[in-house]
Amino acid sequence: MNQYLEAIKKLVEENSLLTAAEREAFVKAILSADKQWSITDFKLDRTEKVKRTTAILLEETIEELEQKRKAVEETNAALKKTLDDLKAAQQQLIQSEKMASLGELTAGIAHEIQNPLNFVNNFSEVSAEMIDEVAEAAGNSPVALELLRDIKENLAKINHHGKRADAIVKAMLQHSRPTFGERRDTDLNALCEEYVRLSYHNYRSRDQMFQAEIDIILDPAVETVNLIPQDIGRVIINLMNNAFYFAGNMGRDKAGPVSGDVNKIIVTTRRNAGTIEITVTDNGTGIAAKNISKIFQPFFTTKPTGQGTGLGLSLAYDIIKAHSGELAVRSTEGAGSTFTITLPA
Amino acid sequence: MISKSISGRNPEEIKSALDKIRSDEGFVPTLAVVFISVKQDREAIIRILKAENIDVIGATSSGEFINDHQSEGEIAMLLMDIKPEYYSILFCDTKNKDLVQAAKEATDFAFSKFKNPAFILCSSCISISGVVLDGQALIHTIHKRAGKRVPIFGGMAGDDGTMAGTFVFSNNESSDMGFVMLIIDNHKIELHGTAISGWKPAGKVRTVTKAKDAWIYSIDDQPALDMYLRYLGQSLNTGEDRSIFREDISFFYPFLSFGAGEPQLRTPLEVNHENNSIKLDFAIPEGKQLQFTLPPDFDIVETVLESADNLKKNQQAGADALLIFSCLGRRWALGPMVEEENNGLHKIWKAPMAGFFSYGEFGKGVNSDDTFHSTTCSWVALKEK
Repeated sequence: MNQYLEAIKKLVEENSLLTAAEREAFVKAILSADKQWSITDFKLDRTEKVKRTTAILLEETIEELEQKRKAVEETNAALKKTLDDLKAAQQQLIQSEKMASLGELTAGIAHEIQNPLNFVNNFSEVSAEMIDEVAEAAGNSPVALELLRDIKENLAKINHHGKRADAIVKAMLQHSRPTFGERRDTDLNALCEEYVRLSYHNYRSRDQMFQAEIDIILDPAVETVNLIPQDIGRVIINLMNNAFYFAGNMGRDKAGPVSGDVNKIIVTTRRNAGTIEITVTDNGTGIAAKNISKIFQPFFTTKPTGQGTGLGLSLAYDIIKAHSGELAVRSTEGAGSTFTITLPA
Repeated sequence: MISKSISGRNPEEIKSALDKIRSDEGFVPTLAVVFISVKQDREAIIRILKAENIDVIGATSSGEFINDHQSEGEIAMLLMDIKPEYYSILFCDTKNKDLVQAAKEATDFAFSKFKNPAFILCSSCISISGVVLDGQALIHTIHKRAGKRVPIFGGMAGDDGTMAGTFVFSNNESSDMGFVMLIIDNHKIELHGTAISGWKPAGKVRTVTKAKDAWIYSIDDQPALDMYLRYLGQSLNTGEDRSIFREDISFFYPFLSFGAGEPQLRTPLEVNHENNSIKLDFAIPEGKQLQFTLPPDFDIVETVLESADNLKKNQQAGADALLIFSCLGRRWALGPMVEEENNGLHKIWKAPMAGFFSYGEFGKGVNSDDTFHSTTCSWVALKEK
């Protein structure tokens, strides 16, 4: 019993001025007050105890939930990355499938065209020879000689364009024909340097006014890579030809640099973890965004008729794929493009 | 049916109280429901009652109470002059008998006595050798045999909080492993009652990741004891008596266990500092889920009383006698308010009452069919039709 209430109770019990009934009533009230006191006391004590527990339980649970939240966030980020990778892979797969089917189609068409084309070319040559013989037989008839000369010129044109068509068909056939080259450990830096120079000289032989500044930045760590050198060389030539062409179409003075604005090509090699990277960057016209997804398709070209078959990048793409690598492009219209070849190290 | 509740500090006081009601009021009881501290002489009490031709069903207690009087270490009983043909007492010692088989036989026996039996059931909880009686299996078996709607109320015996051995007894038998049934003819005596807990789940649902029997070794892969104490902001010295752990911590914060049926409260009884484990009153197997709980708000007493009042009004029920089986955890968690709860029920039913603080309760829950509980106040009003 509460000590103060007990003292009051004692006083009441010993108070002779109160009647027995009054004493009983007082004591009952004191006992009731004591009971309420003890309940209040207990409630305070328990409230304090449970409040502390609740606070700690809450704190611990919040901390735990926070950890779970972080874990869920990390998992979400990983999932998002996987999803993005998956989407990219899916896009690549679609592109590859498209390219493969286009390649097959192209090869099929080329194969079918090749034979009639052979007839065109062969018979135009034979016919030209026959006209020479007819000219001899015709003697000095000026009319006949004039007509024969015209026919011969026509045959020369047929043969010229037949040869052009033949070149296109041959390029098309390279899509489907198995490569005859063999993989071998190749000094990739030397290969790059050699084919870059070769492509520049080839290009210059066709356009003697063209000039470009070429930077070749080679990573010595690249060392040797197992690949088919002729094929990769072909890819480098194709990329360089494109770079020269689009750099040269910026309206710059082809004869030389003007105010420091020069045709510039940068070729780099680099060894990454598990991969080798070759880049070809030009400061040319760049590629319009709408064309980016089409540039590796066969026959897609933005060059004027007669200046490109639309097969160079497509062939390059196939060769890199055959090396289990990737060929990618980044481009800003009006500022240039970078082609990146990634090969397994 | 007339009933009286009496209490005493020893068998002599009980004898005097019995004599008094017999001589003053001419009351001749036929049946006594006895709740008695393990410290008391049970044999002496049984002898007194037998000498008066009173049948006995009883359980040891962890505190006992009658109308407006609560005690610890004493004796309380409800005396009734119920007609012998309306009831039967069955005692089952399960020391050398399978509990489920014993429960089946007991249920069959009840149906052989009455077409519609109802049960007041007292069972042991922990034996002297430390074996815990599976209250869930006992109730499950009876319900399976008798149907879900058969009324069962009662409690698991206590031992003043020592967990050293609990007992149930009848006129002729006593055991620390078994149960005693008061089988009532439900056609003649109606029973109304319910069991309410009030403990509330707190924090997230967790998984028992390592357990064997009633021991839990890890929760969410964290050592069980460390986690239990840390999350509840409690500390426990290695040398501290296990009764302190129960009184100060575990009775306040039992676990809510999620099994096949309704969630059940499970109370930690012992700890092992060496392997950081906790022993529960009833096992929560590995892989099952649990949740921490917080003790009831103070208004739980009003909730219990309101529920009783509503039941009384809705079922137009009356009472000749009232029995209360209140979890020992309520005594620690509600303090002096537990007396308000018990006396409040007595006032609502206006019938003599006796009860005890138990280690487990039997009784239909308010919103569930589950009948075996922990932390509840399970009460039953008996009325002769």
